[in-house]
Amino acid sequence: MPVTGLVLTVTDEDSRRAVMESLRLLGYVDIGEVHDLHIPVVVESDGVADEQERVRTIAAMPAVSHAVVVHFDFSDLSDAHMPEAREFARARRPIGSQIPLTDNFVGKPAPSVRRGTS
Amino acid sequence: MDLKRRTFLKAAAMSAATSAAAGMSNARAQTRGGIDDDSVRWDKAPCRFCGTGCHVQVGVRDGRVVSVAGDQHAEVNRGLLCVKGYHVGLALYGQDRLRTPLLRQGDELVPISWSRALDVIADRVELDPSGFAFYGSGQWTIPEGYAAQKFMKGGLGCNHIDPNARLCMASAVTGFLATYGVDEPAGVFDDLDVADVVITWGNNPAEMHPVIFSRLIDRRSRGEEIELIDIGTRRTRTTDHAQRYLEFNPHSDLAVANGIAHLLLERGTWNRDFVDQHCAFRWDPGDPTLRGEALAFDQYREMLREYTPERVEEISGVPADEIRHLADLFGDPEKRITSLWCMGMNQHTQGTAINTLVHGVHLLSGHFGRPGDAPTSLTGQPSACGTVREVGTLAHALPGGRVVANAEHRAQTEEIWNVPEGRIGSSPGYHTMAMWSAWSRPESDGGDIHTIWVQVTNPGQTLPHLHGNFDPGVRDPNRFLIVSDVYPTVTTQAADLVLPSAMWVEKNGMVGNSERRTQQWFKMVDPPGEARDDTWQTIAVARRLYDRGFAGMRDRDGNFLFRVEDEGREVPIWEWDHYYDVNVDKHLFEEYRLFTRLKHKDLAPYDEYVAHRGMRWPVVQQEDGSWRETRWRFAGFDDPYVEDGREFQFYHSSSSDDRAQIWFRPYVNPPEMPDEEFPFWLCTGRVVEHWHTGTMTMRVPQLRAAMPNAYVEVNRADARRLGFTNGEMVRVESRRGHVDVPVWIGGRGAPPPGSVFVPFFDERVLINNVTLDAYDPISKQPDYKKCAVRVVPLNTRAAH
Ligand code: SF4
Repeated sequence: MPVTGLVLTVTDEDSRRAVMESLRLLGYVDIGEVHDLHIPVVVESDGVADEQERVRTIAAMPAVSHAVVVHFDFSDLSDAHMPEAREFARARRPIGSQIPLTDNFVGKPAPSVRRGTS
Repeated sequence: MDLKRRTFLKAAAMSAATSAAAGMSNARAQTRGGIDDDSVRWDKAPCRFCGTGCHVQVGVRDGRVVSVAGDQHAEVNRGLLCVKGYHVGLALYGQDRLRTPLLRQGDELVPISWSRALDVIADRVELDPSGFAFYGSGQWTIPEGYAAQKFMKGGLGCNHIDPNARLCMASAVTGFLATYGVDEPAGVFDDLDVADVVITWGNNPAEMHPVIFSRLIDRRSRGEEIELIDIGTRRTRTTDHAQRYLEFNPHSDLAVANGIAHLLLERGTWNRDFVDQHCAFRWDPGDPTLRGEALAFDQYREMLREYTPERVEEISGVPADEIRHLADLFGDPEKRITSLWCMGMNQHTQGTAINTLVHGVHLLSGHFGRPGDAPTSLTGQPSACGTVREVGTLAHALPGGRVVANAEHRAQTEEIWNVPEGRIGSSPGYHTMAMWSAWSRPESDGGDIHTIWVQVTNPGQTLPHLHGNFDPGVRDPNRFLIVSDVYPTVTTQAADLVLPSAMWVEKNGMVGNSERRTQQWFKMVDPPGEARDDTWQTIAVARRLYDRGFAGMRDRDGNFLFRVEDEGREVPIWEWDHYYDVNVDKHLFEEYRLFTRLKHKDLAPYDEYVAHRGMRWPVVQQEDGSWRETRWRFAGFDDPYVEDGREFQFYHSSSSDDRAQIWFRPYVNPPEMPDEEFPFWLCTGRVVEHWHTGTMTMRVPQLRAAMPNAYVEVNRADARRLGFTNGEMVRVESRRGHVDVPVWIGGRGAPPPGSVFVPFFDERVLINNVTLDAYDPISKQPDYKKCAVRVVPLNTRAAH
C-alpha cells in the first residue's frame, strides 16, 4: 500500500501550529521535524485512490500554501492495480463538474499574492 | 505488509521529506549501487518527463522499480518532484506494454521475430534510401538521437530526419539563432532564485514546469518580494500566483513586445551603453529570414513609432497602463527581470518573430547576463535541448551546431564519422511538416517519402490537422509506417511494423534539460518481453544493411559504421545478447563529444556525468584537471569563452562583430481568425497530470484518476449565452474536423469570452483533427494555440 512523503509549506508561523494540530487529528499522518514554514509528513494509505484523496485533503488545508510530494513507495502495488489504457478507453467517461480538480502539486495561491487584474 | 517493513518504509519517506524540508543534503542511499536495509538498491536518474530535468532517486528490488524519491543532491529540484515525477516509476508497469515486434497482415498486427523485423526495415531502406525518413523526438536520449542521426546522414546519405521537437520548440531555436547566432538559453534556472520580476509570456509553469515554478513559491514563503506578471490568453494556475495578469488577443504578443521597446526608446530608458557596445539592429525587408538585413538605430526607432501604448491596447487588448508598467520595469536598471516562455510563444505562426522580440526587449534594456536578468525559453521534453538542439537531429543540422548546407561542416562531420567524402547530402531534408506531407501525398502529387520510422513519439495524436497530414498516408498501401514505442498508441494502431522499446531506466541514457544541463543514468531493470533499446534497434538495422552489402553502412576503412571495440576486438553490439557487453552509450557519447567543442558547447567526458547530477555546458577542463560547468553564457564573469577583460561577448554573432541582434518585427494577423461561421478561438495544450499524449501517464492509476479525460473549457458568459451546462457533450468543430467532448465551465483554466481550450493528452479526443497546420515560415513550427472553431451542443449528456 502506498507510503508518501510530503513537504507542506504553511503561510506563516502562527498558522503552522494550527496546521500541525489538524494533521495530528488524521490517523494516517506522521509529522517530522519542522523547518521554518516547512512541515515534513508521511501519509499511509490503503490504496491508490485513498492515497490520492488523502494527499489532496492535506494539500487543501487552510494555511497550507504549498504541498509537494517528495517520496512515493509503491512496492506493494501489484500489476492488478495497473489497468491498461485500452481497457480504460472503453470505460465510462466522467464528465464536466465530476472531473476531479486535483491540486497535487501547486496547491493554492500564496496568500501574500494579490489576485491578478485582467 | 508486515509491520517491520512498513515502519521501514515510513522512516524512508520521512527521511526524504525531512531532508527536503530542511534543504539538507543528507538523504539516504544517494550513491550508485547503494542498498538500503530493505534490500532496495538506489540509483539516480533524471525524471522521464519534462525539460525541467528533475533528478529522482530510483529504488529497485527484485528487478522491479518499487520506489522513487526526489533527489536531494540535484540542484535542479533539490529533492522535489511534481505529481508526474513521483509517479514516474509506475509508468513502466502498464499491463499492455509492447513486448514483441508486430507486423501488419491485413487488419491484424501479428507477432514476428526481431530478425524478421530487421529484414522488413532493411527491405524498406533498400527500396529507395532517399525515400526513407526517420521521425524522432525530444524524448530520444542523446545516444539514441546521435545513432539515428549517424544512421541517416552518415549511413543512408539521406537528410530526412526530423523530431517532434519541431512541433514544440523550433521557434525558440530560430529565435536564439537570429539573435545570438547560436542556439539555447544564456541563462539558467538559478535566475529564478534572484529575479525581482518574472514575466511568463504565454506560459504556465505552475502546471507545466512545476518544480521550476516552486522556486518562486519557496522564495515567497520566505517573505521575498517577487513580482510575477502573467501575459497570456487564458487564466491558468500561474495566473493565480501572479500580481498582474495581462490578457492579450491571440497572436498580438508581438504588439506587446514592440510596445515595451517603443516606450523604452521614447522615454530614453533603454540601456544605451549595453546596446552601443553589444547590440546591432535587424529586420526583414522582404520574406522572413533568419539573418535579415542590418538596420540603423534611427530606422529601428521609426519602425516602432506606431506601437504607442494606446495602439498596442487596440491591437492586443492589454490596457495601455499595463504596457507602461512593463516599460517601467524594463526601464529600471536595478530590477532583475527573467522572462519565461514555452509553447505559447513557440507554437505560433510568428514564433521566430516573437522569440526575437522578447530577446530584443531584454537586450535593449540591458536586462541580460546578470543573474536574474534573462530571457529564458523552457522545453517540454526531457531532451529537446540535449538531443534535438545539440545532437542536431533536425533535417538541416549536424551534431554540435553544424549544418548540412555548409561544406566545411559536412567535411568535419564526415571526418569524425570516418565516412567517405560526399556521403552527407548538402540539401536539408524534409522538416516535420514537409516529411508527413510527402508521406501522405500520393506519388503522383510529389509524395516521395515511402517509409517513416518513428521512435519515441506519437504523431498520430500530435501532428496538426491529422486528416490532412497523417490519415491519407495510413490509407495509402504504398506507404509504410514503422513505430518503436513502449505502449500501444494511436500511431502504433496505424503502423505496419511495431517495435517494442525499452523505456527510461530499462536502458542506459543521457538527456539535456532546458538549462543546458546534460544528465546521465544507468540501466536498472530489464525491459519486458522482447522490448529493446531504441539505440540497439537503429544499430541492428544498420548491421543488417551492412551484412547485405549496403555501402553506406561501411566507413572509409570498410568497417561497420557503428563499430565498437573492447580491448582491440569488435563487440557484436548488433546482437542483443552482446549489446550490454560494453557501454554503447558511452562509446557514442564520446564520439559525439568531439562535435561539441566546435561551437563552444563543450561537454565533459562521460564519467563526469556519472559522478554528477548533470552539468551545464560549456563544460571546460581547468588547470587542476577538474571540469567546470558554465551558468551564464556570454557573460565575462562566468563564460570561459568570453575574452579576458570583456564584460560580455556574443562570440557567435551573426554579424561577426560580437554583437547580438535586436530585431524589428511587425504585428501581423494570424492566418485564421474567428468569424461568423467559426466564432471561437481554439487553444490546445497540456495538463499537469499527463505527459503529452498520455501514453505513459494514462497508465498510472493515480494520474489517470486525477485527470481521466479531455474536456473543453468554456468561458462562463459564453456557456450561459449558449445554454451549455457543465458536463454537457458538445462538438468542437473547425474547417478541418471535429471532436465531441464534455464542457467544463469554471474549471482549472479560464479562457476569456470567445475562446475555448482543449488539452491534447486524451487519445479518445483527437483535438488535432481540428487544429490548423499553418506554420512559422522560418522555424516551420505549427501553431497549435489558435484557430477558428464553433462549439455546438450534441444534446446528449455523457454517461456517468
Ligand atoms: S515532470 Fe518535470 S517537473 Fe515534474 S518531476 Fe519530472 S522533470 Fe520534474
